Amino acid sequence: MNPFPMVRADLRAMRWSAVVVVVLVALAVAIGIAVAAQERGLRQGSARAADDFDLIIGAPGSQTQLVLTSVYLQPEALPLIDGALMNKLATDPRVAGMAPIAFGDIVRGYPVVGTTRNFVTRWGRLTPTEGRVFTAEAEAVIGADVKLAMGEDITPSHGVGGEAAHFGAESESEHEHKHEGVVYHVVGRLPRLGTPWDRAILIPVESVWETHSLGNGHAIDEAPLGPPFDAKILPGVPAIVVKPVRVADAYQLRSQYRQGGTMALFPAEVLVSLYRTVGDLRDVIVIAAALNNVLVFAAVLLLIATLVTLRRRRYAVLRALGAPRGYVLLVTWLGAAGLIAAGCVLGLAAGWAASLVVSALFEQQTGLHVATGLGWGEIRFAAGLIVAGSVFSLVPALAAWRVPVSEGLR
Amino acid sequence: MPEPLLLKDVRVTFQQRGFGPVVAADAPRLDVAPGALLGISGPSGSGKTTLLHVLAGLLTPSSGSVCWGGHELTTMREAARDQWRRKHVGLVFQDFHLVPELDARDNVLLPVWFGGWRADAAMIARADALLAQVGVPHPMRRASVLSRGEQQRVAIARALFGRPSVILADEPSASLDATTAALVSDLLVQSARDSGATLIVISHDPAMLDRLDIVRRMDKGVLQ
Repeated sequence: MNPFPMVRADLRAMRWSAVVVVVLVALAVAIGIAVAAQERGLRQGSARAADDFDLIIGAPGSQTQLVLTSVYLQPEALPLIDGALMNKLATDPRVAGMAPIAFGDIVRGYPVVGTTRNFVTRWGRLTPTEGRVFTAEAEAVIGADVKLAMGEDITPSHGVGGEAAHFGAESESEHEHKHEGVVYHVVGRLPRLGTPWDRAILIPVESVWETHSLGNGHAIDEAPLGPPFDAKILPGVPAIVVKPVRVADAYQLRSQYRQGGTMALFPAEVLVSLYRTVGDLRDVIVIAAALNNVLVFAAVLLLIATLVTLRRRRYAVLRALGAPRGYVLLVTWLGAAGLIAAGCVLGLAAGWAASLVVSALFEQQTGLHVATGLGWGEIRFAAGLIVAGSVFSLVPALAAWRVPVSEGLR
Repeated sequence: MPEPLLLKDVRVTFQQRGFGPVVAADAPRLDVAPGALLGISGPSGSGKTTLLHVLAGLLTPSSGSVCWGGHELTTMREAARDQWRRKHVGLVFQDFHLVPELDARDNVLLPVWFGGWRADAAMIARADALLAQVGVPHPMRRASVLSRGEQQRVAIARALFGRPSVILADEPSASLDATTAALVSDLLVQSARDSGATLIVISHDPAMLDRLDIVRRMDKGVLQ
């Protein structure tokens, strides 16, 4: 028994209906897959970006804002905390590493972040792909995506809040707010992190203070970079990143700095609560996508059932010419299941492509790399739909199977 | 080998709401010798097609027996009847009923796929030879682009392909113009004579009926 010549003939007879069925199924599947892949990618990408930020200490205020500003470099003026805290943390035995994060200036749309060598290399994890880490004030290390040349001299401008960043180009307001006479020399470039920090220009925190006429944080001008900061009057910083020695230390430090005019948090816990909120939204989207799939599949099956009914005489003729019932069943089932399977496979590819595009757009906007591989979840989802589609395709096939030949011929 | 047909006391009735049982066909007796050419005439609605479906095993009568040699159709299971039909019967319809998306050759080969995976070279050669014989010179042409006369010729080639012992035709010339109808009628009768198959034709076309050995008439569901 070979049903394929008849299946081919049926598909040819369906023409545009066959195309419509495949496209409808593909769209329905693609939406479901894109939503799932995107959501997972976003969750993983945002969590990975927070990897080097075990504990953040800042002035009391919005926890979410502190994480957004320090981890994801979304510009916002944050209240400052006492700079003396840095020295206290630097000598704390529970602290493996600490670094201030001071921002506010921009160069051609790229945020300028003042920190220490320690954090530039992410606690020693990174080595520059070009050049070296800064060793003196007025030296700068740039992120992988910053379009500046090695050796270039740059002058920062005072960032104006609420302005959309145009990376690589100097805006009018940036031109108006230049820190005249201040020059940083680009000495190194960092490897790609897949986070917004790829677009940051990192300078010694001392330079940030100097630029804003707050001294350099040290008692003498030629002091080596980094802690201890022994100036009599130490400028404040918006945030301090702390790498605790042990997990227990992390909890102790967090509870200690939750009081006394500071706020301490694990970015991970803020993310978890964000995910919970976003997760609820995702559930809604997933349910909507599932309903959408059910509707599309129902419509497609109805269409196929109608087409099969319209062709009942054709199948009756096959029976009259000696085809067993099973042959007609196989022809109609294979036709319907084949279309649905083709739609699912196409939808898997389209969903994947769509999530790649969305990820690229998202990365362009936020600097956050969202990895959108097709997970087993998506493949299982598509496979499940193929199985379900094949089972439901039996309905129109059985309808064709049941028609008495003599009746079908009239 | 063609087998004799013996049909006895066949009645096909169906229930019509409000009217009780309605007799669609009533054939007390029909004897057909192997290789005979039989016509069944009668006005439309007289039950001719119903009778033909009974003869082809497509419809089981409410009562009576239909015997093709040793094959008693009324007691056979459906699958067995399908198989018997594929092996012994060639069917020709008024509206040809080709698969328009297949070419002429594949339409002839269609029944091969009901039982096998593919047609071998000998089968393809036979299909092409049959098509040439019935006057369709282009076996690769889609059925949908053939003229009506050509389509009926392909249908006849399809009916002849399995070397049937019985050819059943339902108004084979009714939807053709007079000239084509005459050619198709000749072809059908000649093919049956050449192969020695029994031919039973339902028709109200006198030109068709004139070419047959015996003509029986059906009126108001009763075979005279």
